[in-house]
Amino acid sequence: MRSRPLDLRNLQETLSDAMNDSLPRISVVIPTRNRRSSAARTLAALAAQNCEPHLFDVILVADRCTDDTTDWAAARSWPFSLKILKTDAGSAGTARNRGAGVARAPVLLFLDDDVDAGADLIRAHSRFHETHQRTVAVGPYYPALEGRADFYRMLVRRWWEDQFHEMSSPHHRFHYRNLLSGNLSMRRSDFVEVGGFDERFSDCGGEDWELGIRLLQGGFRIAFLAEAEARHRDHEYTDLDRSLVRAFQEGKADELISRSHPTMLRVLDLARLGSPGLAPWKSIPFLAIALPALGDLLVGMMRRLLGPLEFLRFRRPWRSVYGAVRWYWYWRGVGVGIGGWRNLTRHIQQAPGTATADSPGLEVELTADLPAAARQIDRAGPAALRFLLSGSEIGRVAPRAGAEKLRGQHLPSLLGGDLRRELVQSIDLEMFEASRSHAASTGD
Amino acid sequence: MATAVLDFDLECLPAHVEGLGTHTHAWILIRYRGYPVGQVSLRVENGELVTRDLRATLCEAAGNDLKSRLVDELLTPLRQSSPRAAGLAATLAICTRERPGDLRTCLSRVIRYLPAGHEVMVVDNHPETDATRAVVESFPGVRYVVEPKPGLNAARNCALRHAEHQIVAFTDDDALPEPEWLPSLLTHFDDRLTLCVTGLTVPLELETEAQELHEQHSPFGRGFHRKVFDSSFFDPMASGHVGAGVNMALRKRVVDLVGTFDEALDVGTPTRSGGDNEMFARILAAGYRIVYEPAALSRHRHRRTRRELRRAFHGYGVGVYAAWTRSLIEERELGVISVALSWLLKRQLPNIVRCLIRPSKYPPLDLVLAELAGCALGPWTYGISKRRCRTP
Repeated sequence: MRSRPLDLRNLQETLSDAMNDSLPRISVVIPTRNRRSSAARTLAALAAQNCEPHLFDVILVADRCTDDTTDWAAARSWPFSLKILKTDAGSAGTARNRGAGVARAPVLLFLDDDVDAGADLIRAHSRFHETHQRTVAVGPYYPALEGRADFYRMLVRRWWEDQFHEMSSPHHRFHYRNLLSGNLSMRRSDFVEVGGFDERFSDCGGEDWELGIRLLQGGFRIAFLAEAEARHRDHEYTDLDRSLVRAFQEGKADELISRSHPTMLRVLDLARLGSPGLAPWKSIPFLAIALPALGDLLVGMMRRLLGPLEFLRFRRPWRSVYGAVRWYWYWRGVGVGIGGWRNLTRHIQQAPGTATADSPGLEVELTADLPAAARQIDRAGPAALRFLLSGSEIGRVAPRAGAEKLRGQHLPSLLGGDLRRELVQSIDLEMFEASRSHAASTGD
Repeated sequence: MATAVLDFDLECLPAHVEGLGTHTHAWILIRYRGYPVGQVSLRVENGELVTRDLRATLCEAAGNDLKSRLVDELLTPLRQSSPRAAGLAATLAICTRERPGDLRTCLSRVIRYLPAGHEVMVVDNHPETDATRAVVESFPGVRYVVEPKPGLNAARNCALRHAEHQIVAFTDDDALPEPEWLPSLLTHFDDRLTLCVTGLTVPLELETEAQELHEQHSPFGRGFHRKVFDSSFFDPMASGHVGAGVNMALRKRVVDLVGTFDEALDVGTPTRSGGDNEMFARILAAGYRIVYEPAALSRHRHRRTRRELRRAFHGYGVGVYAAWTRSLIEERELGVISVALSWLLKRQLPNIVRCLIRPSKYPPLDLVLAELAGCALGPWTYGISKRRCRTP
């Protein structure tokens, strides 16, 4: 079972409560462990919301806390209703499930304890769910780190900013990795329907991405809620060595995902082992899984190079070494569950094939009426697309596990990267002007 | 031997190009539906362009930049704008010193095309007369600010301090921005990591040999396709490729995030240039981005005489090395050594020989030597300038 059995008595109580206007609209669930000062700032930001305090309540899930978080929070008075739940969950995902289990409001908002809500966050999430069905809302929690920092923190900041920048595009095609649980809201009924966070991921993280897979498979949509801005104090708690621990956990999580959702294997980093052209990097997975003792020693030495490289401001060598070290620890994580090199290669080879580039897809002629083609994609909901330029194929979009259904508004982003290069090579002015003339003459 | 500067749009090419007087060449800016996609230089004979098929010639010259633009046009009916891109207001800052004629021409242009909601500010740097003030007063609505400390970077910092809006766009007083200049710069600030956007600067005129040499060997333009510069794949110390201070916009917050312009650098100080490049390098080194957008088009009048051009090349050499000296000493950017060596060994020294063998293709020897001499003086000059800055 992925979560606790659904308690119908709680559900009936919750549904009845939901009809009572004096009850909160949103229950904010904040898992925390031994980060009292951080949780305090998160709560302080919630106390400064631009909305009536009765609109929401807060469930602080103190998971295996040995510091004074719960005493401190209980001793203070808050403008909102605060419930403190002590758990022995052992992971953020399971702690969130526990918090959701005692929530009263029809909408759940998961917030991390190092995320400071902007003043309009609660209101934005609340309004969103008044008008959207079967859709989860991810709000941006931009890095609070500003200015120059060490190479690792600047790298992480770039990652977070790019995530939210991509998601903010109206043409973005959402995928499972966009399900970021630091500022995430959904209807409580949807959370129950999908089964909450999978508690088997309790010792490796990645439970939010796994939830993203199930949500998309279940026909739910992911939306980016730009107005629900928050600041993320991730830089206060992360460093380069913790990133390697995280890479290890990601490896474990990916291995678990590939067993829980075999069709996902082709999109996971695991599958890169089977791809051509990756030869120099294949020695790293082999070292991590077949010879871990030797690998730990060698990679440990490489890790020690990062400090001097950064001191000398040698950016490209630093990136290469960090990339290799991180890649190694990812495969170490994979190796925990996979049971050896032979098992890994067999596992990858036996992965169910998703449709390849040869799959037929809906044809889109790029010199024709593109808005009409976009509408056709919305109607037909194809798994794949085949792009033509004046009748000649220039590229395809293959079915992709873990991504939302193709929609017409995705076209501009789909025609980026390799497809755009092909398109630029193939187009010319005559062809383009002919297509415009045709469009003008047919009244498109 | 003057070169006519022409501007053609592929969507509406003239059937015949004539009336080019005594010009021997034509430098042509190629556009497609208003968007710059390339440039080409063609011979002129008897006042007419020498070309069999103008359209084919221009298409070939524009190459993949035209094709890339066609792809963008193809996708335009599908595009929705990102909400964050809308509604940004900018302060347009012109830093100037005792060039009232140029300033008047520049202001006349920007006022005509400036969209509503933005402001224009003139920073009068270390003025000796009231000439600049008098020009500004003849343009109602333009703000006038004095920066007494000499130096272009001091003026830029003054503009950043006094700007009302969160984006500050800079143009020189001898440049003429095109109508789409400011909106094109502002588009890219929807990415929170973008601290600076630079634009394409093309020549306003090429009437003298010095101007032609300037455009041929040290153009301000950085090409006709959009580029994003990020230290995750681009060396910040090679920031000369990013753009030029004659055509740039920055977030006002750059001061808090990265620092102010170094007032020991650039025009009006002993280092004579490099202030823009050094700021670009610092922005990139701090993990932020710079976007080069060719649609943000401006025109610049290059130096007219060979003597001025030699001084300019000398000044570029001083400025680049002065900026690198700052990066090395204050930011510990050891990478400047490899960038400087690469430039010296792969371009500057070989050019000394090349310009003697094929003088039409490479910079003339006097310019190469002037630049090298400037480079040699750069580090020393930075020290002098820095000391002067500290002296009250």
